[in-house]
Amino acid sequence: MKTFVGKTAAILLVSLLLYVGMMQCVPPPMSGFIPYQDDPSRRMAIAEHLAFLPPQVDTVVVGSSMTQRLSQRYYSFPPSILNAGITGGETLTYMEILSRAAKKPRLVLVEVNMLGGEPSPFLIERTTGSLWHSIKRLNAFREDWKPMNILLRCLNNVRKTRSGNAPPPNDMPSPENFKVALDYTIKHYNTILTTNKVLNVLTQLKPLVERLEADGVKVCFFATPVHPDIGSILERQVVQHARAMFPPAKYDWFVVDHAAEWHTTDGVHLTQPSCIVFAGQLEAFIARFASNGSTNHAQM
Amino acid sequence: MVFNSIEFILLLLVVFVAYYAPGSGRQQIPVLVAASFFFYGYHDPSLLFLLVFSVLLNATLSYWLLKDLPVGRQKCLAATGIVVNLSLLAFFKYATLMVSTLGHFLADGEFGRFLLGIPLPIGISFYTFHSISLLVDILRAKNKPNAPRLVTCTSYWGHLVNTTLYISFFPQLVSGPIVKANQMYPQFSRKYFKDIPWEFVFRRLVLGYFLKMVVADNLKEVTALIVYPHFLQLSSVNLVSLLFAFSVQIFADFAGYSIIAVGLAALFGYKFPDNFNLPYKSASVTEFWRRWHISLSSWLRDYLYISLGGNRKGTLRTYGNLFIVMFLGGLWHGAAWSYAMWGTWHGLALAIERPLLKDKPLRPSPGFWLYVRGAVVFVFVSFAWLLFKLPNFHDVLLYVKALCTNHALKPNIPQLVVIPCYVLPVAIYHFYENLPLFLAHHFRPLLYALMLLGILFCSGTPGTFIYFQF
Repeated sequence: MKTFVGKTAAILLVSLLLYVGMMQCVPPPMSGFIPYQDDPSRRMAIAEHLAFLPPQVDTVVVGSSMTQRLSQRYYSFPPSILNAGITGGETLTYMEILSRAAKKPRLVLVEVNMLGGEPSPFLIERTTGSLWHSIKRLNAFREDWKPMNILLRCLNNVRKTRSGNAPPPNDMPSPENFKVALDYTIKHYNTILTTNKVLNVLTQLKPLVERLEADGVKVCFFATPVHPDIGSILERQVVQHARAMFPPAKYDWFVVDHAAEWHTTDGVHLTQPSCIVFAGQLEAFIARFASNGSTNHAQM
Repeated sequence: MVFNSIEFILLLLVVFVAYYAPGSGRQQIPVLVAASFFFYGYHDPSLLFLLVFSVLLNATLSYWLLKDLPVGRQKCLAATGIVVNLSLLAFFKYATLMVSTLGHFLADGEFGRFLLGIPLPIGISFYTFHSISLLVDILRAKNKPNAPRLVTCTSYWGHLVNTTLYISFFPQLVSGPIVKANQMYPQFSRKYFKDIPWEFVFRRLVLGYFLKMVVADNLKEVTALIVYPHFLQLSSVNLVSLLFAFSVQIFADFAGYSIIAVGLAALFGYKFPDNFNLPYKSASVTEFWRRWHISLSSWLRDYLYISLGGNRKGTLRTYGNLFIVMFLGGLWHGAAWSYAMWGTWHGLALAIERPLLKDKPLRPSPGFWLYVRGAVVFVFVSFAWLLFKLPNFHDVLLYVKALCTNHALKPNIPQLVVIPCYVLPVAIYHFYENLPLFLAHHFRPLLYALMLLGILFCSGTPGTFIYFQF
C-alpha cells in the first residue's frame, strides 16, 4: 500500500463504501417538479422511475414536453401519478421499460400529440438489462442520487420554501411574441411530422400496449389541447392515425376540444394556468377508472 | 469505436493479453496493427479502404526515399507523396466547402451533388499529417546532416508493417496527438511487460477519462443551448457562463482524449508527446499556442512555417507566414469558413502580440499582471471558440448581441449552479502545481480516488469526442 496506485486504491475503496452507504440513507425525491442537471439526466431519471416504480404510483402519464408541463403538483394526490413527459417524447422507450418492469401501474395514459421516434436501446438496457438493473438497485448509481441532482433539488426546495404557496406565474407571451413562436411551431411541425414516421411508431406501440394490457394494465390515450392551427396539423398527421390504430370503441380516449379557452405559449405548450385546468380534468378522467375499482386513486 | 465505450475496454483487454503473451515478440506490431484496423473499421469497415490506400502509398514512397537516389528524384518522390496526401484530404474533407462556396455553379449540377455526397472519413486530417511527416522527415534525414535520423527496416515488408502502425496506431489514429515520424520510428522494438510504467499509465487514464466522462460529457448537455434561436432567450449572465463552459468543455474533451491516448500508448511501450500543457494559464496568445494542441502547433511550425521561410525572410514575410499558417491551421479543423476565421482571429492576435512581446519574457513573473493577462487571454480564446460552436457567423454576432442586451432577463439559476461545479475540476487541474510541493504530493492519491469516484457516479451521457469531426 506504499505505492501511489496502492494508496489511491485504498482511499477509493473506503470512500466507495462510505458513499454507497451514505446514498442508501438519502431519501428519494418527493413528487412534483424536480429539476435535473440536463435533459439526458431527466430522460434517464424517468426511465429509472419506470423500471423501479415507487409503491404509491398507480398511474403513469407518458408523453412529450406538452405532458411534461403538467407538473405533478397540479394533481390533488401527486404521489399516485408519475409524469413521464419529456421533450420530443420517448413513448416507445418508456412503454418498453414499463412492459419489462416487475411492478406495473394500474393505468397508463399515452399522449398522442408527439409520439417521439425509435426506442432508445441505451435507456432500455441501462434500466432493464439484467446487469444494470442489479447495479441500479443501489441508490448511488441512480440519476436521482447524482450529487449534482441532489444539489439542484436542495436549491429548489429552498426556493420553494421561500416563495411559499404562491400560484405559478402566468407565462402567457405578448401577442407579437406568440405570433413569432406560433409561426415557428407550425413550420417545425410541418417538417417533423411525417406519416411514415408516425405510422412506424404506432405500429411498434401496438404490441407494447397489448403486452401491458395482458399484464392487467389499463392503457388510455389523450391529446393535450393546442392552438387550432396546430390542432389541424396534429389531427391530420398523428391523431387520426392513432385513433385508427387504437379505436375509441376498444380503447378509452380522453378528448378535449382545441377551443379558444386554452392558452398556449407557442401554439402547443399550455400556459401554467391552462395546465392546472387541464390537469384537473385529466385527474377527473383518471378518477372515473378509479371509481370502477381499477385504480386506488378513488380511495383518496 | 471510442475510448469511453465497453467495446473498446474489451478490445483493449484482448489486445493487451495478446501483445504481452509469452512468445509474442515478433507479433507485437502485427497485433497492434490488427487492433488498430478493427478499432477504426468497427462501425464502418468501408473507411478502411482509404486508410489502407494511404498506408500502402506512403510506405512504398518512403521505402523508395530511403534508397540511395539522386537528390532531385528524392525531392520529386516526396513532393508527389505530399501532393497526393493533400489531394485526398482536399477531396474528402473540403469538397463540400468548395460546393457551398462556389454555390450555384456547382451545387445544382450532377458533379456538385456528387461532391456533396462524399462522406468524411474519420481521422483523415490526422493520418494525412502523419504521412506527410514521414515523407518530410526521411527527406530531411537524408539531406540535412543535423536532422534526426529514422531507424528503419531494410526489408520492404518490415518497413510496411512499421509504417502501418505509425499511421494507424489506434490511440492516436482519429484525434491525435500528431506524432512525428522521427519521434515514433526509433521506438519500434520488442516491448516487455516489466517495463510498463504502471503509475504513469494509471494517472493518465484516470485523468483523461475523468476530463472526458465527468467534465466534458456533463458540460456538453449544458452548452447544447448555444444554438440559434435558443440562446436568444437566455440572460447575459447565462450567456457568459455558457461561453466559459464551452471553453472548458472543449479543453476537457480534447485534452481528455489526448491524455488517454498518451496513457494507452505507454501501456504498449510507446512514448507519445504531451498535447496540452495547462493552456488556460497562458499569459499571451503566443503562449497559448505553445500549450494548446502542442503536436499540431509544432507540426505546423516544423513542416509549414519553416518551409515557408519562417521568420528568416524579413518582417513582412514573417507576418504573412504567420497568417498563412494560422489560416490553414484553422481550416484544418473543419471544412467551413468559420474555422478559417477562427484561425485568422488567432493569427491577428499573434501578429499584434509579436512586436509587443519582443525581447520580453513570454510569461511575466507571478503577480497581478500575470493574472490580468491570463484573464484577458482566456476571455479572448473563449470568444474565439464561438466560431467553433456556431459555424454561421451571423449566429455568432447574434450571440454577442444577446450577451450585451439580455441583462434584464431572469437568469436560469440551475444552469449557473451546474456550470461552476464542472468547471472547478479544470481550474484545480490548471492551478494544482501552485500548491506547496508537500501538499500537492500528499493530496494526489486522494484526488485520483475522487476522480475515480466521479467517473463511477457523476459521468454524463456518453458522447463522441469533439475532435473526431476534424
